[in-house]
Amino acid sequence: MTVTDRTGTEGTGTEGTGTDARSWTARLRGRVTGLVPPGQALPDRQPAYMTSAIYVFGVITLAALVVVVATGVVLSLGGAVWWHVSAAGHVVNSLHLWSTEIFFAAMVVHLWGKFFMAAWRGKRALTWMTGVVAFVGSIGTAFTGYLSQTNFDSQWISTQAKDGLNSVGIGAWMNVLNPAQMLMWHIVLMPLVVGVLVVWHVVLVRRHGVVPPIDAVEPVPAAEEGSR
Amino acid sequence: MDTTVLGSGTTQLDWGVVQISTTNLIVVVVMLAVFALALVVPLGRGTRDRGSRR
Amino acid sequence: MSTTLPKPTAPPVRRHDATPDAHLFPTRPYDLVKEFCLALAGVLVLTIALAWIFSSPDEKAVTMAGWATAAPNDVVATATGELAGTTTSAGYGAPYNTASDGQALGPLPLQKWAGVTIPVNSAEDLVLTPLSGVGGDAALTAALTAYRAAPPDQQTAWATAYGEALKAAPDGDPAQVAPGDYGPVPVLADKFLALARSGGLEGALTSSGTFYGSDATRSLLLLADGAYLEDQARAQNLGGDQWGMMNETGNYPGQPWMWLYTFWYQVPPFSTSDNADALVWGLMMVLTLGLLLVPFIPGLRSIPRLVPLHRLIWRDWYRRTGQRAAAPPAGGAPPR
Repeated sequence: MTVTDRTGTEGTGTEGTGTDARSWTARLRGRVTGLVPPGQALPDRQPAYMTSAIYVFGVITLAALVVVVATGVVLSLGGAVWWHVSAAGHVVNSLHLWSTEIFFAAMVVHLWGKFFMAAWRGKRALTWMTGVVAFVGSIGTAFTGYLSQTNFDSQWISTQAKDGLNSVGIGAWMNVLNPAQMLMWHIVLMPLVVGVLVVWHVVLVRRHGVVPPIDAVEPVPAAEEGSR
Repeated sequence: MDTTVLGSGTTQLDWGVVQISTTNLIVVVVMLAVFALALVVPLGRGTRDRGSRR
Repeated sequence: MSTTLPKPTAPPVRRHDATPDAHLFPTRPYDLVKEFCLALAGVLVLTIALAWIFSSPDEKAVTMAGWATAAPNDVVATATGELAGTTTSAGYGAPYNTASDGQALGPLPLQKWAGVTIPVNSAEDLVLTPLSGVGGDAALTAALTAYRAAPPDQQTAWATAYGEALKAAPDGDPAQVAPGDYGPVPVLADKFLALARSGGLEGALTSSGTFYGSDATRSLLLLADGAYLEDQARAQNLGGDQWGMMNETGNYPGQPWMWLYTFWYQVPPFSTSDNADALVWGLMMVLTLGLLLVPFIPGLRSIPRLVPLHRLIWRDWYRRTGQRAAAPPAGGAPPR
């Protein structure tokens, strides 16, 4: 079959969609689409063993993160000291603080649940590990947030924390006494790190599926039973 | 257990080497309670069994 | 014809992870996007409620002027200490100076290895340079000239003697100091206090002569060298040996997840060690690594079996399929 395109060139009509192994684009496409089994990126079904409320704490953590970032964006509109001088700014700061508390509480409950479910089974070690690093990264992000308060709390936290960081050499390049540096770590560097880890973590969950119960046995396919 | 109420408004609970503010204690207790609840509360219509649908 | 199903296999041997593929299991409908939207709505409602009821703490920063007004004797003592080299910052070591080797993690002098990347000369940068920026004060200019003209040993001798005399005076009051050979140091310290009181010290240390200043390193080092900042913090249980890392000003929830980090500071050997910071950091790094590597650590990764909370979580599944956690299932078809 021949097809004529707009320029009058004849072809098979499948140009541009081949699987040329040398094409960087094709290779990247293959990698991206192969990350998650077909239909599993946003499936509308889930394994029948997911019958406990413990399973909602991952999504609650994610939702809380969205609120943290959104309130942070609003704070960035006003600037570093806006919340001290504006009532609206103070409200946004309060929203940012409490959404962060909810974020950490939900994340820790999620961690407890995943630990007791031994959720690293079935080649899910990387899922566990990205989760732990995201947790640690979140603590670092919150820490730089505390340093950016430009009030008594940040004065105290910075002068105390410097001793811990200096004692192991980290303080030489992470100067917690420099609010301009710490603010930029808080709103640029750390969110990027945490963001990458969270995306990686969620992709891994969708890739491997939610871990089956401990000692669950692979079910016999229905087709086999019907034929006996 | 000693309870110390300071002028600035923090209430501390002291138990040997452990000192914790009442607020922090409440947060921890609530988290543990939520975890315990999550273990027993079902998700959705959990007990329905539809077999091996794909 | 009766269906005969193959006997279910025995629970997997520990060493071999025989976890089945999750995608092979029966499924039921579930709306992930709706779940996320509900979670978002719930979090928003809870956040707004908590923010409405509790707001957020905002204790004003301690200014140099505020410090000078509330604790003038502390300011004088601190300025003297900077000149004498007896303050914390003066004797700190890396990254500010080479006055000390700093802390070591066992045999590794990590603090020293990092080097002096934020150079601060306490006497010069925190006291003398700000004073030099004050014009139109003949007495101050004379004192500065006299001090700079003297050899370093003499400078240290004056400042040390004055520091001792302040400690001996009732309430550290400079007006009640015993007579002695302190050179121009008392004048310098007094002028420093006046500069602080006037508000001139706020910018002097942050901008250091330029227009835009955003690095508060010098101001904070000076403030932390005094006793006033710590006094204010300890009054709110924010001190290191008060589990302070977990706490927040006022009655607000703090950072309970820091409990393990701050715990070590409360107990020996950390509570009595000069290397406490490095040791606690090292320990927490090891424990964090442990958390990270749980899937690979024998014993640790078996805790879910030993503390079988999973039987609660998956009780529905175990009941319906007849599978029992950690118990070999009997032969025959499981109930459907």
